[in-house]
Amino acid sequence: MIFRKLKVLSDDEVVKIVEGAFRILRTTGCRFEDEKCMDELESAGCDVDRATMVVKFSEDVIFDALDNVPSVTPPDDLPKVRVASANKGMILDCKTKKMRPGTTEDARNVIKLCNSLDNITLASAGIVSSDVPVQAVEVFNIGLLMKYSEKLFNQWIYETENVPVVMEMAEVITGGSEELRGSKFLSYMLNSVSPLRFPPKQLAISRMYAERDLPIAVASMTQAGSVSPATPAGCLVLCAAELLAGLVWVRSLRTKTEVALGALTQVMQMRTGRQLYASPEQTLMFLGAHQIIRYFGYCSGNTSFETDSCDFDMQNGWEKALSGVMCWAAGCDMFGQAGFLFDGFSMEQLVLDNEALGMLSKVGEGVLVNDDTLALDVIKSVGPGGNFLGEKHTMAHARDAWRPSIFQRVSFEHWAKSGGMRIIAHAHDKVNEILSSKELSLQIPEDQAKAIDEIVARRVAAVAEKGAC
Amino acid sequence: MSLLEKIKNSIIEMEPELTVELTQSALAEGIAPMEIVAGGLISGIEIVGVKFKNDEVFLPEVMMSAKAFKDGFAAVSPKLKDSGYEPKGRVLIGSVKGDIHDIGKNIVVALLQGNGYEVHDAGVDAPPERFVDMVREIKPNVVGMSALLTTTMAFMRDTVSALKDAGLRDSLKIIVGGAPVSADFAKEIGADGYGEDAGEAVDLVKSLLAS
Amino acid sequence: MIFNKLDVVSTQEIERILDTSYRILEEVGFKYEWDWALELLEKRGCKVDMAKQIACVPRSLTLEAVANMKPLALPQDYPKIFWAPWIGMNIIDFETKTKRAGTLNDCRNVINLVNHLENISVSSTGVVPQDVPIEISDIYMAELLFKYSEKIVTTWTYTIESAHDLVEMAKAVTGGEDELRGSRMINYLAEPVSPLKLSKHSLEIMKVYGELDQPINMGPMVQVGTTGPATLAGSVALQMAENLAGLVYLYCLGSNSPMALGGPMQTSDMRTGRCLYAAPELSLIHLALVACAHHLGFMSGCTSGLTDSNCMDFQSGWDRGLSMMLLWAAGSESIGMRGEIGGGEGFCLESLVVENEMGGMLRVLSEGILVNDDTLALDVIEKVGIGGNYLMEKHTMRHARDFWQPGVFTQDTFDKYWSEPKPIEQRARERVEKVLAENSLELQVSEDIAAEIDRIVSRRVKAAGLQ
Repeated sequence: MIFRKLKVLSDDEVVKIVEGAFRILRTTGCRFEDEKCMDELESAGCDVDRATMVVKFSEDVIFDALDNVPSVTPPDDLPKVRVASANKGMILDCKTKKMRPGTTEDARNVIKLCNSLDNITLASAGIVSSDVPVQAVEVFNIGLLMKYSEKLFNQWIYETENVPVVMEMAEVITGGSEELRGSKFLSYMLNSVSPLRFPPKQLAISRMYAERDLPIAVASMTQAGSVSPATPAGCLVLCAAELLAGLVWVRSLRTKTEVALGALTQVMQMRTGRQLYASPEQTLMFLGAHQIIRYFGYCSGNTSFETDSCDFDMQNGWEKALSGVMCWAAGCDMFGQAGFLFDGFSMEQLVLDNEALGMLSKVGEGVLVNDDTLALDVIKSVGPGGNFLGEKHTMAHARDAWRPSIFQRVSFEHWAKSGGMRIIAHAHDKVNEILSSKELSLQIPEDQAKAIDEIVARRVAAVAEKGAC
Repeated sequence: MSLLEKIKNSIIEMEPELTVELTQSALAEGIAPMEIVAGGLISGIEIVGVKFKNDEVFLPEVMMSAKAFKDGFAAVSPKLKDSGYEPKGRVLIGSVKGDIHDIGKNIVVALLQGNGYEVHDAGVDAPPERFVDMVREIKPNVVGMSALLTTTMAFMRDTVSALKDAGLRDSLKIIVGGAPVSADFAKEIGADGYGEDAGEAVDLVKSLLAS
Repeated sequence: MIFNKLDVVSTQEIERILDTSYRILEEVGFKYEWDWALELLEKRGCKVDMAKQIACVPRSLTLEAVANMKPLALPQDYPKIFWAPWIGMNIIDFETKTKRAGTLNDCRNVINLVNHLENISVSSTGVVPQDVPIEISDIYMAELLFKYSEKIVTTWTYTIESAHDLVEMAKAVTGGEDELRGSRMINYLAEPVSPLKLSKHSLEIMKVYGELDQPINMGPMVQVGTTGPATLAGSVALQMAENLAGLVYLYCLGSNSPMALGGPMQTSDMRTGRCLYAAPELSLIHLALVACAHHLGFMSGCTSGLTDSNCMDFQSGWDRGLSMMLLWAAGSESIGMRGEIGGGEGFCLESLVVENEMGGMLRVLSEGILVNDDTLALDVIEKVGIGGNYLMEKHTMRHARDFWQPGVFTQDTFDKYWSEPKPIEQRARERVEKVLAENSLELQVSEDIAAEIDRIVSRRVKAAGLQ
């Protein structure tokens, strides 16, 4: 049995942070930069200032939201380690070590890789194709994912105009608007802009999802030192306040939308102001935020499993473990972005991450304790000083262990003699092997695929035309 | 220690209130405004700049020094008008269309102001037209654009084109920055420079204006 | 503060594993290869077969020993995590991709380096020096550590003669037998030979150190599928039985040695038979082992932070990270045997430097999140309000230097890094060279004590007829 209950805050400390968030929502409030939200939040009982768009929240309003907005329940059949493939602009050319703009071919390849990599739970197209008009890329990627991904997928949407198009596509797959309603086929992340703001576009898009009872992840993107206090506890207060404000707004829509809460907590590099992707303080904040989200009673996610290394080196692997393993040990439902490398995407990194997660997944199986595995009889028959190699029991369990697909287990001499390669060489080979041996095959009937293609083509043409004007 | 020395130190010591107080005393004592700026404020912030480059001071500390400079400068600037003082340069800066993230831009604004530049802020989600209008009005030497998202990065290109179309491109330098932006991208869209962090942005402005 | 933790076995499962361990000692027995020890155990109620040298330990005696032996506790000034560099045979050179036998000079460099690595709290020589006669290399290792280490040390003791010499050196350093008794000069790793055997010389050395109350860490090395059953639970039960066999022996000796339980378990690649230094199963058994040690009220001492990779690549970072994070999350007191690379291939100074940096990050995690009025920063949040920023707040300035700062890790942007790529091996090499160039190894004991240690070493060299 595995008990993933690592905690970095006492129950009292969680309460203190949450009380702080309540105070901030009461005294300072949060700005919802969308006219309609004013009506919605006022009807929910919030104190609304229409001139400044600042909304203040009483305890009652917050408790009402916590009591009534349902949490997403992750599907049971998903493995215990849940990591999404990242969603980035540039892609790494492994040979030249240069980031280059992604292409539609890259998007297809990333989907192919996601299909083949067992430990990547949610697929993505990885990149933003530069050969598709930028305002239609989201639609284009979703079209590809709907057609070819064997897994649920993850694609950000920034353009409001793309939402109805995506909904139309989803209806093609699910069979209609009633079938799409309340399904988990599409979901959206409503992201605060710290401190204490929700921007108009994101609110409008979220509303479109909520109106169809589709799940919404409310996420707070605090950054210690710049848009949030420099102390982790203060950062968590702000994070909790923004999550609760988002939750109250979702409640005010009075739909059946299920919600997950997320911490996209960051730390600013204090020397230069640069954004960091991995630091021990960030891990602590992920863990603290997870506890707070659980205290609220919600499914929890974060952006762990990232690195500041630009190389496939010891730092890269260590930093992935620093946040990824810890968040797993704390029982986070969804963590991390696989394939992420310095604000870009790398297929080799995706393969390495998949391998690493395979090990973590195996740890998740725990230690089986029963008469057979305790093996007292076998220990008796071998006795002091013997060995277990010839035992039937050993034969029966010889294939239980995890085996690597690219990680190396060879002697130093063998390694040095065969070129002294770093693991990236094997990851690169694996990428090529998958890409050359697998074909993308349609996951949906041909007529649906045709309908999807038409919708995508229509949107691409519309954007192109607008651009020409 | 002379009063100018004290002003310089108050900036290095990150004490905005003290800087303002000392600047006012200096004015009251009849020290020439230009001398206060050059011998006190600027010599202080220059030392901070060197320390920043050597990793001796951290960003929040530099920002506080920059605030001390800015506040001290504000105290002396009414008297500067008649003395023929010209700012080091005029910079217009904004987050491009679609981008609502402004922390990076705000850091650059504060550091530029703290280094004696006159900075105008085009705000967030700024469409190309806003840049064009503001350039016409302000006549900056440098235009800076920031983007955090790959999808909004494309609007940097549009903004460069819009400035070209309006016949304003040649009168100014264009610099870009932000997480997804790279030196290659800057070159590709026809910008004059790229800074990978706020500190580099200040150096970049300095070198572009010198050339 | 860290509350709760990661558990891979329930309390019930721990009890079942330990019950199996008690039964192994009682029903299978344990081979103590020294008649003196067997006689001692027989007097305390064990059923002894002198011909086979096997003692069956009644459960009641095991439980009595568990209840009465003292657990090793971390001294107050210890950091929460402590690490001992691994002691291997070879030094790995990354530049030439070669390995070579360790020398006395390497030992000195490791001690010097560890003195200056702030997150490593236990020192060793890293390698066994092989430019001295190998059979007395343990004496040279002890000499260097006692003379030059600023930290608590751990080392090997090969023979009973060496044990007596080490005790004499330790007495010279502490000032006498009484002072030695209250100290932690010698941290002995007692190594049963799996399955279920302690050699005569191990038992003799345990007796020498045990009678002087020196800390003893039990370090059996059950390997799943070869020297232990192929199933994890059974191997852990066997490992704990071997731990307890040592504990019972020391108890019967009347030792007051503080003890840690655990030890480095192993798994192997079932295809090739190669012993593995990193595998998910390896983490699982160590986590179960920590849980068993804690259940009995003892500090755990297990290995982690190892890798099968031969260089400083992604795999080496993940292998180490996975095992260290998991043990940390499970509340293990000791994490990491460090500086080793490539499945026990050799010791690597560059790796030790990087691992020290990892230790710094783990230390930040161990400090946890401080929650008080200042850190909650409610007033600052209200002051900055909506859409502002915290950069110019005094609160931010005051805390700007709270954050962990990298040494050999990089936080450069992609373009900057790749414009002049300097791989982590090279950055670490530079750090090693800097530390060694800037610091000479200095005596930590008086000239007189050093002379006494030297005398003991030369006496031994003469006695062994070696030069």
